[in-house]
Order: sequence, then structure tokens, then C-alpha cells
Amino acid sequence: MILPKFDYNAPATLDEACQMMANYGDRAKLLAGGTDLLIALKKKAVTPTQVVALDRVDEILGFCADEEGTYLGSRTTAAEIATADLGPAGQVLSQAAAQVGSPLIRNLATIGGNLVTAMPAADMAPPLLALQASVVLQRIGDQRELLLSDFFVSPGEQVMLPEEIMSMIVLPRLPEGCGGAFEKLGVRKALERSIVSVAAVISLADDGRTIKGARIALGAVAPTPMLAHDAAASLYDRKATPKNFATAAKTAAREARPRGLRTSAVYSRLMVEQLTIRALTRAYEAANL
Amino acid sequence: MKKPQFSVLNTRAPRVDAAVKATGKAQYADDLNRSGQLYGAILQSPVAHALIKNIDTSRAERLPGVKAVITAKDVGLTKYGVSPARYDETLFAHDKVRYIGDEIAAVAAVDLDTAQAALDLIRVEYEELPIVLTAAEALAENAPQLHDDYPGNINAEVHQEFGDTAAAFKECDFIHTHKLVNKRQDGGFIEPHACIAEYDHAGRLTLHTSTQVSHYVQRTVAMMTGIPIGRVRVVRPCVGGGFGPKCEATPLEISACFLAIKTGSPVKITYSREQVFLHSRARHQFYHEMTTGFKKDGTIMALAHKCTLDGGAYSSFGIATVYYAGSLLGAPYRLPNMKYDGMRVYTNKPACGAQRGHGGVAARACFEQQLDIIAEELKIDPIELRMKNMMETGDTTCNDLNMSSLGMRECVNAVKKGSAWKKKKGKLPAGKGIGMACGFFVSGAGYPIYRSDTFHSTAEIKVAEDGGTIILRSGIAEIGQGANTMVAMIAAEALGIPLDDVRVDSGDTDYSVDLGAYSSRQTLMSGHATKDAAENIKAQILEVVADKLKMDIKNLDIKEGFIKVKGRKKLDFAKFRDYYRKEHRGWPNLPEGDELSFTEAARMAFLEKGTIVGTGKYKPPILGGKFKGAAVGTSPAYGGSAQVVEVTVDRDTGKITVDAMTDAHDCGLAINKTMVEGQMHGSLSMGLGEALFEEVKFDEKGNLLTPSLGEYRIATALDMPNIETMIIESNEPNGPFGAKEVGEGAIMPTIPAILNAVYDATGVQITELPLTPERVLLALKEAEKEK
Amino acid sequence: MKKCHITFQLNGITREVLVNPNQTLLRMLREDMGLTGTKYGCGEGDCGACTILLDDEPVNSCLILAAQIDGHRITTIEGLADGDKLHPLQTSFIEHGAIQCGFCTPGMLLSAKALLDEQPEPSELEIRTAISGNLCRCTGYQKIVEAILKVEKPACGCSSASENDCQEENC
Repeated sequence: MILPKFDYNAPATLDEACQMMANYGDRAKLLAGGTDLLIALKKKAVTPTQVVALDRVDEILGFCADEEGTYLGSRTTAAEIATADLGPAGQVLSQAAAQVGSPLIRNLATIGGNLVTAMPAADMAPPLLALQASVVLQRIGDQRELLLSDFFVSPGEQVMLPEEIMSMIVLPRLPEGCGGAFEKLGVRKALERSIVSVAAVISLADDGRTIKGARIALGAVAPTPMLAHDAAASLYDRKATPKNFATAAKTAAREARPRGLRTSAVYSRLMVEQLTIRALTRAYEAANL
Repeated sequence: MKKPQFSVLNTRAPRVDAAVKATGKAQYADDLNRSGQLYGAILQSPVAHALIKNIDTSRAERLPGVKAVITAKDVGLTKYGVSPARYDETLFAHDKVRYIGDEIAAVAAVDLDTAQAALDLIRVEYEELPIVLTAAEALAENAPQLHDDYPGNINAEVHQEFGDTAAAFKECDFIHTHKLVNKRQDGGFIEPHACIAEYDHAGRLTLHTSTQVSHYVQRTVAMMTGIPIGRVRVVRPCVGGGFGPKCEATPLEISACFLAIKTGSPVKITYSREQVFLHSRARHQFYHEMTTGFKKDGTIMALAHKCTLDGGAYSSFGIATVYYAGSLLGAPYRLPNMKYDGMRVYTNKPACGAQRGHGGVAARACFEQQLDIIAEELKIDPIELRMKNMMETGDTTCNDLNMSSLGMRECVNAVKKGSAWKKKKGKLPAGKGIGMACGFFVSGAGYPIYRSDTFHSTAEIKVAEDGGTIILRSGIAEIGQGANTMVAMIAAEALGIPLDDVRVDSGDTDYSVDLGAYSSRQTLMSGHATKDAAENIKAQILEVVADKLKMDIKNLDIKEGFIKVKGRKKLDFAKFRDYYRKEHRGWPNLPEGDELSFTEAARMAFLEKGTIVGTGKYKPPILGGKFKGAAVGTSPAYGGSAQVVEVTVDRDTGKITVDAMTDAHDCGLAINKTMVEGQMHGSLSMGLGEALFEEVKFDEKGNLLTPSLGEYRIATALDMPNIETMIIESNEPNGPFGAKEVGEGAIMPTIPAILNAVYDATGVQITELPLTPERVLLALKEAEKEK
Repeated sequence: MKKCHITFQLNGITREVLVNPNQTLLRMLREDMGLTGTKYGCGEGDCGACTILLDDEPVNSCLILAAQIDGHRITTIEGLADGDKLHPLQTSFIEHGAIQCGFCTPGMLLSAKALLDEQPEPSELEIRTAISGNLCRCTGYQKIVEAILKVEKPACGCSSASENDCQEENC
């Protein structure tokens, strides 16, 4: 339970934090909620000589929305997102946030941290993929925005440079008639890392039954959170019916690439299928509200 | 028989230690600090099986801040364990390591960081050996051998037969063979083991430790260190749960003692959660195969039972476990013929020991699941089948266990009614199921772990020289179950004073011998010793009162803090009261009224005799049969439990939700109703966890894959349903005031009740635990295919 | 490793401490502040025995560096009672038999307090959810849930134990 030795830095602004990361490079680790980093430090999985804590960087707290979209500061906690009203589609994200770990963990864990740690089972990633989120990465003097679907590389790895800090997650405004839902399967009812998770967002045409667009994202069944493109594509211009949902779900199960670590690949695929049906069904209900 | 009126017992008195725990003031072992203390750390093997070629501690010794480094060459090769006939571990490995986690050295340093850094500087050369990770691998021909003294990796073998099973099977109309396998479990107590050892320069060793068994730890430490036992003191602070794995001396404790002796400084060591998992000494993995024979009217005739236990690298409690796995099926149903062949096998994994319900839990699960299968086959209601075969009070099992009280019928009727069984069985919607099971357990093992005529429990009560309070000092183990409150209530009742006037100080080997908290013994055994001591005090005080006030002692009693008088002659204590009031002139709350208070009587006794001290003792009578292993399973009494569980099974994911649990437990007499219910609740939650989530896993090299409470899943508040509990009181003649156990009997029916409910919900019998969603779903799919 | 100078409120009192950067809040409380009521159960956020209130929100103190609490308010179990007056939750836990070994109790009480401060009349599901990060191996949670459900509420409807906190006349 001993952490390695390091120096602690508490920058007051994002610029200051970026300056530090530019100086330290990969000798430093960023500390936000700490729910992943503290454990990694205790296990000596990482041994930074500098820790840059974002506790005082208020610019990346909180969230707001305008006509273009919703903007989530990377330090927004799972607890805050769980109780936020993000609309009938955005609720896919609050539902996921509400099931992260435990209430204690949710008070600390940040949305930025969940993405940056890049675990295959990161609960908030599939909803963000389903919402077509992009992330804003800041470094000294520069900033880039990229789609979350281009962000993950492999378990624990993403495309960020050592000197970059994730500042914001952008959710583009979705058209009217959209709904989202999140399904998580764990062994217990709390404190669980997902066995399988599915996030679905559906966009309905004016008739309230034809699917204009869909996005289905899967968690914990591939080296990274992933979009089930074929499954989603199979729903375009189709009616929202149990039969069509079932077909899409089977396709999603085929697209999944489970590694058979926590549960067998067979079971994981069966669950992708099940949870996709449930997520699509509930997303459809939400879209129709 | 009508229950007597009690003044203190059978109530919901708040626990005597609740306030200190509610305010964060309770001191657990890791909360203790001594000035000048050093911090210990233990070097553990990273490989599962290897010869030790060399240990070089020189660099560690030279690290600034390190005060001592010890290995086998410093502490010797004395063997220890739990059962003396099977002592098979040395404190530190010297020639070979047998599992990942096996201890090799220990360090004491000025702070924990330095101690950990020192471990990294100890160089050990290993020559790796092939490993065996399952019982099957260990038993295979040419398997690598863990212990020279135990060829074939067989740690213990039991072969017993009662009656004549072969003949009985010939008479049976129906014979069924059933198998069940569980997984290795962990105690899951929230407080990791911790201790602090101190050695003074006059040769006395004191160990404060989170233990269930101060007495056994004291003996082991004395044996290992060579310090005369009269100079070894083990003190038990508040303990954050035990459940079995804290029932034996640990390498943590023994290392701390050696380090304290070597450095002359207090040494504090606490296990990390991972080390708790590496230490284990928790529930074994059992492979049960039961062949049971019935008459077509449902009468049970015979049981032939084979069991293999995966025991890990050392014996620990294993010899008792392998016996219990067989012996505890002798009841509560009449079983005239029982054959048991059990074997405990060594594997290169942490050693397994005793855990709540000991060897009886998986065996009971297998048997009760089988009973339901039989019931279905014979078209008899599962409850009726059990009731038909139920033993009665006074019956003796085929293996000589005597049911001096047995409230099993009452328990079954209670849960049948309480759960609305008749309304639900066979009438629940698809995906929902209801199941029931029974179980029972000993109220204390009939014999101590070491061959001895020792009393199992002794207690001392001192009456305060002034004030009318008593202090009860005893070696008992309060580990959360409420033992301190239980003995306080018994003392108060037996003596006749209010509970508030009793103070308990326990767990200190200086006070008295008590074998500790295991085999669910303390209510019956420590309760008896306490009652004995309290009655002794009562007699001493009444003797003085009778003498001083010229009364016949036979007409005197103490109740609710006052001296009660029978007969026409009144107690003339005016003179003494006057004296007492003068002696306490100016004090508030002086005694008044027309009865002599206990406070005054106690003062009277002190003034006459000096300090009044009473002692009590208890040892069970010689119990059980004369056959080998007869000792295990014998007990002065048995607690019994019946349970009904309702589940919902999600057929598409395999996820099980337990919707309701109804449990009835016969505890003889509930000393404290709230505490009895609490033990039932805790047992059920552990049983639910073991049925649905809990599993210790290893990789192919013997590394723990579940070294955390995130991976080893115990039930959270969202996983537990509301539990309805009913207390049955059969008035046990061998128990103090009729009381017997509750701590371990209540877990027995839980796993099979869930298994039976799942079968009821799905029509699929699952015979491997835990019932994870994956296991259930794949079983459902398999069954569908077969159709 | 340069020590960090932190100033924070601990159970209502301002404290100023020098801490090592690599020290967790849990260890600081237990080892430097002498407050051993907050417990080490696992060190990884899996059990909740280390729960404290950080600016009134329940969190795992084993996952927080001591340095991070600079400028914040911490409440530990030692700060729950008001002098010799127990918090209604503590009284309820004692009366309802919600305490067995007591190791999870400090964390449970603080999670429960945070819930009641937000939601004075929680449903059973809300209670179970609020304590879902606090593991208990002894009680099966039954009497803990009962104790929280049946806690005595002050007449004015506030959840404060301290007369000073609530401004209502009849509190």
C-alpha cells in the first residue's frame, strides 16, 4: 500500500498544467479523480516522478450546452453526470455514469479519467461513442479535437501525447426524435466492472417508427470500447421492431471481439446480443417520449 | 415447556460494545500504536513450487532504518499448524516453497516504506519445480510431491462406515447419485489481519492481534519462540470479523513476535488485502459425490459419500474439515447407514482451513439439492420428504451424535408458513422459483484441537469493592458476533443484576482459558463458564448477607439488582443501610426503598471478606463414539436451521436475483434476539455470496487472479434481499439457560435453498458453484439443446 | 520528495500539516492525525471502510492523496457526534443492532449521513444504493438498512444533530 515517491504539483490553470506536462513529459502522470491512478501507483504499475493534480483547474469543471452541443468538462464526475438531465438521447451517458463502481467512486471518478485510462470496460466510453462524442486535447499553445472513435488504441492505450491534457468532451447536438439507453451486465449489482455493456442511440424519422440513424457501442468485448457499425447500419431506414432489433443484435454479437478473459467469448457474444436488444428497445422508447 | 421469565435474557438489549464502534473509538489491532514501534514486512514466494537454493539477506540488513531481518536460520524449524498430529509448516520456508505467498523472511524497520524496500533487497535463488493446481493433478501418478511426510500428496484420508450401506442399498427402491462441486472461498472479513508484538527485557512477550483464538495463538507462539507460556500474553482487541480464517496462529503473528524479541522494540505488521487472500485458511474446494438410497415412500435408508478436498499447501484445519464434511450429514434426517470416504489433497496454492460452517457447508448443499431431486422423482413435496425423515429430540445419529434438543420441525413449519410456501410452490410465474433446505451445526466441538483435559472455557468475575458492579474477565473472543454482550447478559441474569452493571474485558490470555470463537461454541461453552462464575459470586454474596442478617440462605435470591426474600421473615437491613449512607455521606443516588440493593449487599460482602472473586468453568462431557474421527462432529448440542429462498432467473442473461429469504433457526434460547437475528442475516449473506459470486481463482502458474475485494465478490447491499428471520427455541438441556449456537448453523441451508429455487425457476439442475450468470446461462442453453 | 503544506478543515477545525506527496488521505488521518476511526480494508476502493466526507460527499479516502485536500473540508467518523450527543444515525445503529464487528460502521454511518442530508426520507432502494459501496460481511445489511430507514428525524425536519446547525425554533 506504499506509493512510489514523487513530487506533487497543483497547477491553478489549464495553461499552467499544460506547461508542467510539457516540461515533465512522460515522467509525469495527471491526477483527476484518482480512482485509477491511485491503484496503479499502489501496484507500482506506474512510477512517475511527478504527479500533476488537476484539483485546482476549475476551467475543466462543469458542463453546459448550446445550439451546437453539450460540453462536458473533463473533470465532471460520474456522480454529476448521473444526475444531469442530458435529454432523451444523452441519458445513455447518465445511465452509464450512474452504474460506475459505487456512489463513493462516482463522487471521485471523472469522465476524462474514464476515457484517458482507456480500459476496455470503461463504462462511460460506449455511451460517448454512441453520442458521436469528440474529445478536446490541450497542450501548451495548441489544441486538437478528435472523434472518440479515433481515440482508443488498445487496452490502457490511447492516442494522447504525454504532454496533452483532455479538457473537454463534446457531444454534438442531435436532431429531434433521438433516444438513448445503456445496458450493463455485471455479476453483482454494485462495485462491478462490466462483463458486457451496450450503449444505443436511435434517431427516428417523423413517423416515429422509421429509424433514420443508429449508433450501437459495445464495452468490455474488445480490446477497446467499440462501435458496432454493421449492426447500426442494418437499422437504417428500417422500422423499429423487435424483429429488426433482434437482427441488429445478432450482427452486433458477431462484430464483438471478446478476448475470453473474464467470461468466455461465447457468453460475451450472447450477452452483446441480449443487451443490444434491450438497449435498442429502451432507446426507442426514449426517442418516442 | 413454558419458557421461564428472564430479567435480562431473551431481550433486544443493545450491545455493550455498540457505542464505541459507532463513534470510531473502538480499537482494532492496526489502530494500536506503541512508542518506538517498528514496522514489519514479510517476504513471500513469487513461485508456486521451488527448491530454495540460497537466501541472501545481507543487502537488506545494511539498508538504513532496517533493524532486523529474519529467516529460517534465525527462527528455527519448529513445525506448527493447527492439529498437533499434522503440524507441517515452519514459520519460514527453508528448503522449499509450496505456494505463491509462502513466507521466507521478515523484516522490521523504522517505517513501512523502509521495510518494503528491504524486502526488495533480499535475494532468493529458486529452482522451480513442477506444480499441481488441482486435486486431480496432485493425485496423478508421478505428480510432484509437496511434503515428504505425505506421499501421493494425500494430507488426510478418512474412511468410515456406520451401519451397513451395502445391505441397505439392496433394500432400497430408489438409488440416486449426485455430485456437487464448489469453489475455494475467502473469509471476506473487512479487517485484514494485524498485530503488534512487544517483548520487554524481563523476558515477557505480549501480542495484540486480530484473532479468534487468543489461547491457541498463545500456545503456538510459546512453542515457536521457546518463551515459557507463563510469560506469553496474547490480547485480542476489537476484531473486524473472523469467520474462521482467523482461527489459527498466523505467520504475521509469529514473525512479529520473533522480530520484537530480536529488536527489543514493538513490531507492528498488518496484512494488505492481497496478503489476506494469499494467506487464505478459508473454505476448501470440495468435490462431493453422494449416492443415496430411498424407499419409495421417501424413507432415507443409506448414504455412500465420497469427497475430495483441495487443501492447498499446508494442513491448517484440514483434518477437521475432511471429517466434518462427512460427519455433519448424520443429522437432521434419520440416516441409519452412512459410509464416508474423504480425502484431503495438497496442491500448490494457499492453505485452506475453517470457514463459517466448516466442512459441512458444501456437503449440506449437495445433500439438500439431492433431496429435492429425490422428492421430484418420488412425487413428494420437498418439505414433506424432509419432515418424513426428520429426527426427534433425543435421537442419536448413526455416527453417535445426540440431538439433545432439535427444533427442526418447528423451523421447517415456521419457514413454510413465513414464506407462504404453499401459495407459491409450483405457482410462480416463469423465471421465478422457490426452494428450501435444512441444515444444522455443532454448538462447539466436543474436543479441543490439542489432546487435553483442559476446560474449554473458564471465566473470572470480580465484584467491585464498591458500587455494585461486576467485571467479567475471560479469554473469550468477541469478533463481532456479540460474545461480550452474550456473556454479560448471562452473568447479569445468573447473578440477578441489571446488564448495565456488568463490564466485560475479554480475549486476554492473562484472564482465563477459553478456546475461542470457532465451531460456534461460545454461547454454550463460554456461556456455561460465565453462568458458573456468576452463580459462584451470587452464593458468596448471599452467604454473607444470610450470615450478617441472620437469614436462611435458601430463602434469599438476587433479582434485578435487589435481594429478594422468600417466606415470612423480613430482611432487617436498616442498620447496614444506615452504615452505608454514612459511609457515602454526601454522595448522590444513595440506596433507598424497602429492599436491600445488590450494591449494598456487595459492599457488605467486601467489608466481610475482602475482594469477592468468582470463577467458573466448563468442559463438555465425553461425547460421541469410539471410532476414529469420532471426535469431529461431537458436540453437547446442535443448532438447526431451515430456509426458504425465492429467486428470479433472467433466462436471457443467466443472472439470478434473490428476491426473498426466510430463515428459521433453533438456537435453544435466544440470549439476545437482535444478535441472534444478526447472525442469521450474516450467515445468509455469506451463503448467498458463495452461491452466486464468490470464487478464488488462480492462473496456470498459481498466481491469484482474485487478490482484491473487487475481483472476489461478496454481496453488496443491493445484492441482498430483505430477510425474514424467525427464532425457534427448543430449550437445550445442555446449554446455559437452554441456549445453543446460531453463528454457523444458519449458513447451512442457504446454498441449497438457492440451488433448489433456481431449479424450480428453470427446470435445470446446476451442480457447480458459484451460479454466475455465465454458468447459469450456458447450463440453460445446454438443457435447451438436449430437448 | 518535497513535502506539501496543506491547510484544511478537519471535523470543523482548521488544521495545517506537512505531508509527503505519496501519502494517501487515509494514512494521513490514521497515522498523522491520530484518527483511527477511518479504516483500511482494502486500499483499492473496493470496500468503503475508508469512507470519509469530502466537502460533504462520501468518498474512499484510500484513493485520495493527502495533498489533494488542501482547501477542503473533511469529516471523519470522529466528527459525527456532537460532543457527548450522538448523531441520530449512531443512536439508530446502536438501537437496531446494525453493528456487529463494527469495522464497516464508520464508513456506513458517513455514507448514510450524506444520503440523509440530501434526501431526509429515502426509500429502501435509495438507502441500499447509497451504501452499495460499503461492504459488510457480518450483518447482511438488514439491520443497517432498518436503522437508516427508522432513524429518528428531528421535529423540524432537518437532519442535523447539532442545535447550532439548524435555525428552526423547535429543533
